[in-house]
Amino acid sequence: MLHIFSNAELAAYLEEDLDAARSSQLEQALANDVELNNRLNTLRQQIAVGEHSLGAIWRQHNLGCPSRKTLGAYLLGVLPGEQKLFIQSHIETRGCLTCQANLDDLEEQQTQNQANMTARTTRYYQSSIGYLSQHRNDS
Amino acid sequence: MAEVDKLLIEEIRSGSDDAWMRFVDRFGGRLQAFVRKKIRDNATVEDIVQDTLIGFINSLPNFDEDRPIDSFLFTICRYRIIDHFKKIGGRPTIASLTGDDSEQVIDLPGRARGASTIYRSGERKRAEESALLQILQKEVDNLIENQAWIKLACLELLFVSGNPNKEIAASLDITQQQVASYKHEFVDKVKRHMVRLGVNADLFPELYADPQG
Repeated sequence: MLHIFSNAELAAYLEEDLDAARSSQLEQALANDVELNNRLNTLRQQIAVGEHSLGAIWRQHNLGCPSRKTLGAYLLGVLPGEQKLFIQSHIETRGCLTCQANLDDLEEQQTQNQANMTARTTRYYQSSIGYLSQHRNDS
Repeated sequence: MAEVDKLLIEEIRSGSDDAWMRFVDRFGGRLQAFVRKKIRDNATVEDIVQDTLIGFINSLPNFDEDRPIDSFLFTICRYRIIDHFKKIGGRPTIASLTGDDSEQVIDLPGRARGASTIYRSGERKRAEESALLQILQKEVDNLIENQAWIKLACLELLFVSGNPNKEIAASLDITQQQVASYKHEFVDKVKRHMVRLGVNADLFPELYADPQG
């Protein structure tokens, strides 16, 4: 893995959209690299004033991200060669966190106890349903 | 957004508890997996997922149905993670990205603008971004429809990751010349679309500068 960081990666880091391993490498590099710090600060300022970035728009809107169904087929190993290579590149080389999370979730659904997943859903439901009731009352 | 998702949102908007349960069941797991990519502590992970779901409810009145739910939810989630790191001082270099309270600064309702638009104002800037999004979406959809998977992977690594041509060529088993050719063709096409839509392509540095950062 190279330790040179592109501006696109720095922007993803600022937006918590860079994968954990690469973020960790970046943080280590930032501790000793003044120039890298300067680049990061410049980018932060550019983001703050709303500078356009094609890469950020592409990333933020999940363009090209495979559907859950396709990710499921990828997990099962039934995709054609080039599509499989694309997804591999998207998840591993590009490091798409959204698709990594979807893939983890799909794997968990295959391996986890159904009761655990239901309990999780119930916890999230109970801790948020009050806000929906509030929304209903307000509207 | 798929029709089934539109119906789900409609039911939630009308206050259906059952629809909310289905929503949580469907998206809770992937959100949790997303936060776990950044944070190990289980209690914190669950707090952030919960905050994300509440953030979604709060933004319901203005939620733009043209945007996929996933993408919108993950955007909220990333802001909650940024807030968390800001609180614990885990990301000192990004302390000012979202101000004191991201919910007050980030215009989540409506078009759910991404982090690159924080503090931005003006319809013009939003229109430019929207035009580029429209063009990119169309180009990416075309590549998928034509099953041009290697080209799509190449463009993604060029523009989203900012990887050097040499690395991309090696990872996709293509020549550097092919990488350069895909890039040139794509940039050219995007610029032509922008001219057609009356948007100045100069506003997007990647369309002129080498995107290798």
